[in-house]
Amino acid sequence: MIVAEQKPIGEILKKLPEVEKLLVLGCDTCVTVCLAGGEKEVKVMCSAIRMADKKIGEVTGFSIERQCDREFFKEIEAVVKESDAILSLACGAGVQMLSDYFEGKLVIPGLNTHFIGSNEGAGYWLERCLGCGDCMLDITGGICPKTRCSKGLMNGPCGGSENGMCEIDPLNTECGWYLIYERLKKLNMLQNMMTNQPPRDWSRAHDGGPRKLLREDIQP
Amino acid sequence: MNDKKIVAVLCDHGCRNGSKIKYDELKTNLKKSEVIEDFLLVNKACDSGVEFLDAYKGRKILFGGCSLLEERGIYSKIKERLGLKNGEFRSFDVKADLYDLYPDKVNLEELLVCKILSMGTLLYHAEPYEEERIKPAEGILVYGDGITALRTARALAEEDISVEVLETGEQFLSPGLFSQHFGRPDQRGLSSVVSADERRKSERNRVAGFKNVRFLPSDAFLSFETVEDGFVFTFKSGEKRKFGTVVIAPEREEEQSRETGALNLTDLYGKIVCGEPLKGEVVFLLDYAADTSPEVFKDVLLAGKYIKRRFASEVRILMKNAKVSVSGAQELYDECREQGIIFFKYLEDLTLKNNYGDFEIEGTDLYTGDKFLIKEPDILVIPGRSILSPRSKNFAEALELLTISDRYPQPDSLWRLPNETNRPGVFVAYPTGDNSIASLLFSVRARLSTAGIAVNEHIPVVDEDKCVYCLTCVRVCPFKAMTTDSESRVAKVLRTVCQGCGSCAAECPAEAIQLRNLTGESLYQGIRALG
Amino acid sequence: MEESLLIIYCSEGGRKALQKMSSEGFRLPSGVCTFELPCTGRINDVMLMETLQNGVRGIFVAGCREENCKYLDGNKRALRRIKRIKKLLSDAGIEGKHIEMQTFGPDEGKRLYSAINDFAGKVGVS
Repeated sequence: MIVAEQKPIGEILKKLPEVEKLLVLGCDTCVTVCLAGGEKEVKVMCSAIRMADKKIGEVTGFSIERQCDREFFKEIEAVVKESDAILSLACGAGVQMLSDYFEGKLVIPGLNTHFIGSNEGAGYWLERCLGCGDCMLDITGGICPKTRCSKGLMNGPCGGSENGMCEIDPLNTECGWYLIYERLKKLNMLQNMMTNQPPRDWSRAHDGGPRKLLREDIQP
Repeated sequence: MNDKKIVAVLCDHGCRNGSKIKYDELKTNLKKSEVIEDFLLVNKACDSGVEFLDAYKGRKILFGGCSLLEERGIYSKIKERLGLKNGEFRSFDVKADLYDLYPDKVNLEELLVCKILSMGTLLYHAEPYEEERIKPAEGILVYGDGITALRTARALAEEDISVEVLETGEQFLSPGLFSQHFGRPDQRGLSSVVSADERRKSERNRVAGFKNVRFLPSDAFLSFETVEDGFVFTFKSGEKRKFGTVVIAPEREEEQSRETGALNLTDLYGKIVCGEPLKGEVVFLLDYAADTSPEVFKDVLLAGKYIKRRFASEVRILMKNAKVSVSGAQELYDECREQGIIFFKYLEDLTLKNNYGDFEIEGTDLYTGDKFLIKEPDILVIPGRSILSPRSKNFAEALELLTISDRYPQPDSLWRLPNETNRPGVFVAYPTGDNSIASLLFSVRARLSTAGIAVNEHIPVVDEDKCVYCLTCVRVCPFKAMTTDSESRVAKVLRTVCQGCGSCAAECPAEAIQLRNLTGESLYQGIRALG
Repeated sequence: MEESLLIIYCSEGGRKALQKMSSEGFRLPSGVCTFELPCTGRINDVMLMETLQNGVRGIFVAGCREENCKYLDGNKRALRRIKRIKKLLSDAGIEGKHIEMQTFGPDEGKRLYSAINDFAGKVGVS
């Protein structure tokens, strides 16, 4: 699922134009599941804007199934027509779909979209996939080296792997290639470690390791 | 919501000195709202009987009185006489929650209107429901390999409860080992030390003699799921068994001492069992690596007493927070002092120097304020933290039990017995501590003997259209009452497990969860009505 | 409800502290209303935000002492939730709206009284 986090409210308030009617639009799929843009967040956001920004005449809240499917926009056409601007609590894809569909309306993003990841427990999300478009998880035992290895190495581990942890953050970040090695051992497929993987085009690389989102207020 | 309007009744016994409630003003203001149909003032509701309400059969009743009405059972009489279901009657303590809170000069009528409207709104939104009770499944699973697990199994079997013991296949010496093997604190003779293994074997033979006890092979556990009336365990053989109750007698072990050359209690026990002489100066340093629990404190006293008697050694016990006044320890403590064991209560500034096993302890005595220095004791014992054994830890994790080192949550809470876990129906048996097995039996009997487990009034109701199946509720529920349901693909509540706290409703991102008779809307309206 | 202060308290620790407070002779300031919930864990963001939006000056939440929640961690969750809302309010620069939660044992009537008074002073309700 796509993992996103709400922008700081101060930043959102700065971005909001002085309009008569504002629509806050939530999305009931990924961003609801990662507690960033569901019905509840919409209500809280509406209240916050009403209290903080006296220049905006009217704030309406609404939430649709998915903002990345244009079919769902039909039900809000009337509400959108009434509004002067939309604050979208959806991922980047949703915000773009919304701007495409309602071309004349200003759409302001309310979230920062982070990554494709998994929910590891209450209030803890972990990046799992880069969306690189060329999956090699069969070779690496179901652990993605591009995402889980901090350096995105295709042939690892490097010399910075110590006790299963990565040198960039030995306390919190696991070595992706160590995980791959352990997994391949269980699968009896260690020969895969010996196959040389060709280099990739990393011109549009991500670096800095798998990104994590930790929300203290949700954690047990 | 239903259309039944509310009749508000207020007892005017003059709980508040000299105040006269202006009935007409109150009534006019209340009847302006859409939830209150009528308003009655009754004098001395505790004595006046409940017949006066007969004319209001079929309405919801909101009653404001003092705690005396509850004590005298007036509220249940009203409910019975008018045939009111749960969710059709509500009472509030007008004295404690209103009169007593505000100064005398305040506008009473205004406050009363707000309070009655607020409570009335909650009642107005409430749905009537029948109370439900669900009986837990029969059969108890006891997890553990030690003497406590076996004793628990025997105690349950003696009460004609069928028990299955899931052995772990690992044994550790855990806190309380001296108490277990030196006999109870009041038995004075401690000439022989029976090995733990031998005691365990004889207890196991005894337990195996019961017809209603079955032993499951160690490591047979594969997975488990919670259902409304208990827990379904799947074993590696493919067998599925349902138990209504689970008792864990976790194997615990003592952490190794971090000071090279110092012993922990387990090491000391080993030396005693092997018959090593423990001569010279023996020092116990308590509250150093971990706070001392009553069990460990008793162990230390028993060990000290034994060493003093057997080897005529010099025994010193240094402590900071350990409490002498815990049950069973006082007597032992007095005995130890009589025998010449020296106790120090030390202050924060204690330092321990370790020169390859030669220790130097320097500190200040709490009572006299004098400095003391202990140089190179022959034996230094530092009791370690007690932690769950690896398999017990895995089992606790599989059952998603909250643990703090070896303890289950909130050991000191007013609301919980120490043997309760965060999962209703899963209990813990402790080796020592007074009547640990007896108090466990009490909890188990309470679970089994009642007419069943009452379903909480405020169980969550999941709106299937709104639920996005994000599992937030499953993850935040402290009692693990929310589960997945692959058929309906919405979160499902286990009604016997739920305690009605509302964490799920509060965190649900889709606002799909509402508590029965405490919905977000009713709370919001109830708060609005206050002003 | 304009210009008033709302106290939300739980049926256990909060309620007992409030009763203890009144039995010790302390009285609430007149602009204060009270609302009872089974556990502070039931409080959610929407409820608090909408209540503040309706004009109440401040919300004070009184829960059980941390290790003494009847529902294990309802109070702790509420504390974190309120921290979250406090941050939201301050980030949004919303002046004059206050929210606070404290935990009380059943015997802490006097502390509850002074906490409420401090809070009332802060939000300007007397």
